[in-house]
Amino acid sequence: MNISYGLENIWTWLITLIDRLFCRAGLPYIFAYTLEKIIFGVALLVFISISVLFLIWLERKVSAHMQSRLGPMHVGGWHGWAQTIADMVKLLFKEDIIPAKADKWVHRIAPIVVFVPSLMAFLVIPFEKNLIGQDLNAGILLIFAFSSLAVLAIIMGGWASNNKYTLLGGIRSAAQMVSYEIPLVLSVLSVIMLVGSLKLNDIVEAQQGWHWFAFTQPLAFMLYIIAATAEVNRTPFDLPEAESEIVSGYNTEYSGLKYGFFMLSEFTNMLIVALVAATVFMGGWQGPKWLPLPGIIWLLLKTYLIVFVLMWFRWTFPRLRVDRLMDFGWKVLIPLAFVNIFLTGLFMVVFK
Amino acid sequence: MNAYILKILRGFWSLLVGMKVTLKYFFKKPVTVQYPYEKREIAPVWRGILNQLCDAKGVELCDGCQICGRICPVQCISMEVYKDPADNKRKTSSYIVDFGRCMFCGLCVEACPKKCLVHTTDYVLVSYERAGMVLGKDKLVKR
Repeated sequence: MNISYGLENIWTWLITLIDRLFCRAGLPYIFAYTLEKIIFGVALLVFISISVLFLIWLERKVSAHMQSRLGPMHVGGWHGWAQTIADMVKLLFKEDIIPAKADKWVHRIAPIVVFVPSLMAFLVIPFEKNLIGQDLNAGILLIFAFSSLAVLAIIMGGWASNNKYTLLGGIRSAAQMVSYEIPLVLSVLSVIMLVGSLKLNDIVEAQQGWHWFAFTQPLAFMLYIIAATAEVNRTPFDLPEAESEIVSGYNTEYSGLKYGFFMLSEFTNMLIVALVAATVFMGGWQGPKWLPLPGIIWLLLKTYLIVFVLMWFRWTFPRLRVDRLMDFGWKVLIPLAFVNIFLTGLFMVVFK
Repeated sequence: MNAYILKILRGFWSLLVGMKVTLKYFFKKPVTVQYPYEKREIAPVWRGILNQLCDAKGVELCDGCQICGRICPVQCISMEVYKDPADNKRKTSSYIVDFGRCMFCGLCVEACPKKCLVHTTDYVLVSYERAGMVLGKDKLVKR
């Protein structure tokens, strides 16, 4: 099933146009290529920021309705849709405070470092078959590599603030993210075994029709969702920023735009995790044949479904204790992931 | 091993039960009332700002007996009384209630022999200074 219209066509048309213009001007192809990537990157940034603004609003609305409240209702008229824009403007105008005995350079650079890996992971996600930053043949590996880099920035922020709570948050984050990275990768490994490729477009095309890996690999899907919740530091695994224990964790000492960047990267990470879940387990940009919508709309619908589930988790489950968290990660998730891989391998040997 | 698997399954089931509860509340109507735009319905027995009633012709029923002022535990009701030479009856020339002091206990309403002092359901008493809380006859008498 190849649905090739919508945004994809516009993008391929734009690429051809730029290529031809640069060819006519006698410039080497590398310039055209660079320009295309810059355009894609800017479009991605716009998409991320708008999505994050929407996601924060959605989070507040979902949390409110799950607690029989209304949430933001005033700013912007219809159900407070402009609340996050107003909050962002407020953050922009806030004073930028650096604690007196902080490691100033690291403190300044941490919010930038935290955002880079979340942005880089978008590089290989296929929004449509050809609407992709770079279709690397190690796509999924790159996403996990970059998402595990985010812990570095969290430790940087936690350590540089020179505050025991932020340091505790950073250390907790390191322990948690390192141990939950393993079930995350192992759960996707069974899918990779079935597909035989790390390329995300190959994984999407292997799920043609309704052969979603969420149905054929339900255990892997569940493990992925749980490990992903821990990976993006959301409740019930939000130990690095437990408000009731260590104030706000690694970003306690940040204010203004830098805090905004931490917030942005947090929600961007959630978006990435949901995008990967939608791509790897729920058929990506492929939709049912009888409803010919552009692939990007199908992908975003699935993504927001996963995002809603993550928010649902957040407002249902209480936070785990640190030892229980480790217990759960090492004694439950990893053995189950190995069992799943073993069963998948057995299945492949017996039936293929 | 059995206990381990049972523990996982039981935990998973409890998570599903919790998620069912939140989803149920997600689709329920929120209980929030957005105050300045919509107001909660007030029971008719609500003890709000006091009012003095009049009869059908618009003449005050109050005869200035001063019982309400005397029974008031915080002495927030004060009035001036005169004898109207036209019909030889006692009437009030001023009737002032200090709502900054009033605790809305309702004793004055209970004590009023003419049943002309009533509570309204009006509870909005906002003012920039204390004097704004002291309401006179122009505000209290309902014609």
